[in-house]
Amino acid sequence: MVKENKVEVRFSSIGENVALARMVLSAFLMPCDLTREILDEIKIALSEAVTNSIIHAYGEDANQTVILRMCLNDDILTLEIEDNGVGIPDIKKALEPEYSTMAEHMGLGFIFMKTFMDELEVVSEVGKGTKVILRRQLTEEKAISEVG
Amino acid sequence: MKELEVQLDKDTLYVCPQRDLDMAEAKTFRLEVDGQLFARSNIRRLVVDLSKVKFIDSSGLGALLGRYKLLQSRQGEMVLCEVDSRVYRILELSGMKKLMIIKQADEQKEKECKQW
Ligand SMILES: Nc1ncnc2c1ncn2[C@@H]1O[C@H](COP(=O)(O)OP(=O)(O)OP(=O)(O)O)[C@@H](O)[C@H]1O
Ligand SMILES: [Mg+2]
Repeated sequence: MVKENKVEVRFSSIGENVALARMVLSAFLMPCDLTREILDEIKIALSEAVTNSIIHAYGEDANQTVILRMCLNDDILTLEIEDNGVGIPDIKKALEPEYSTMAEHMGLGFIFMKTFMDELEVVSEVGKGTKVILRRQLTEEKAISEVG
Repeated sequence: MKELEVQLDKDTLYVCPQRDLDMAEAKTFRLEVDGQLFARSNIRRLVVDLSKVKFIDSSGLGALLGRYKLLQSRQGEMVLCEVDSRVYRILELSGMKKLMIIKQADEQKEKECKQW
C-alpha cells in the first residue's frame, strides 16, 4: 500500500464543490480500503470544513478560492482546509456545540469534525482567513503485543 | 442535472432530493419546499423521500430541521422515508431521530413514498 502521498487541490468557493471535495477525498483514500463507515465519517468532517469556508469565510462569494491539502503518512491522514476569508474572531466560542452565527445552521460542523477525527486544529486570523487541520489514524490501534 | 422531484396530494407534499444532501442540495430543497408551503397554506404533511441520499452533513440536517419547524408551526408533521442506514446513523447522532418520523429503507413495509 502507498506509504506516503500528498495532493493539493484549489477550487472555487461554490456549493457544488463541496461534493467535488468529497469525491477527491474518496479517490485519494481508495488505496486504503477503508470501511464505508469510516470513509463516511471522514467525508462528513471534510464536508463541514469546506462548507464553512464557502458560507462563513466567503459569504458565498463564488470568486474566492478554497485550498484542500490531503496528506497520507503511514496510516495517518491529515486534511487541511484553507481559506482567505473573514476569519474567526473567537475560536473557542466557534467550537462550542450549537454555536452558530447564522440562522438555519445548527452549529454542528465543528462538533462533527471533532467527533469523526482524532484531532482538530483551527488557525484563524480576522480579515486574513482560516485553516482547519484534521487528523485521523486510519487503522485500528495496534493490539497490545501478547509477547511480554 | 435533474432537479428535486415534487408532488402534491391533498394536504401532503412529497419531495425527493436527487443527490446527497450537502449545502448545494440543501439550498434547492429549502427553496422548493418553502415555496410550496408559502403558496399552499393547507399543506400539513411533508414526506421526504431520501432514497437517493447516501450522504448528509450539517447543512442537510439544518435544512430538514428548518422544514420540520415550519410544519410544526402549522400543526403538521414531517416524515423521512427510504432512509439509508448510513444517513440514519447521522440522523440519530444529531438527535433528529426523536423529532421526525423516520422510516428506514429496509424496514419499511407499507410504502409511504410516492412512485416518481
Ligand atoms: N472558515 C471559517 N471562516 C469564518 N468563520 C467560520 C469558519 N468556520 C466556522 N466559522 C464560524 O464558526 C461558527 C461555528 O461553525 P460550525 O460549522 O460549528 O457551525 P455552523 O456552520 O454555524 O452550523 P452548521 O455547521 O451546523 O451548518 C460558524 O457559525 C461561523 O461563525
Ligand atoms: Mg458549519
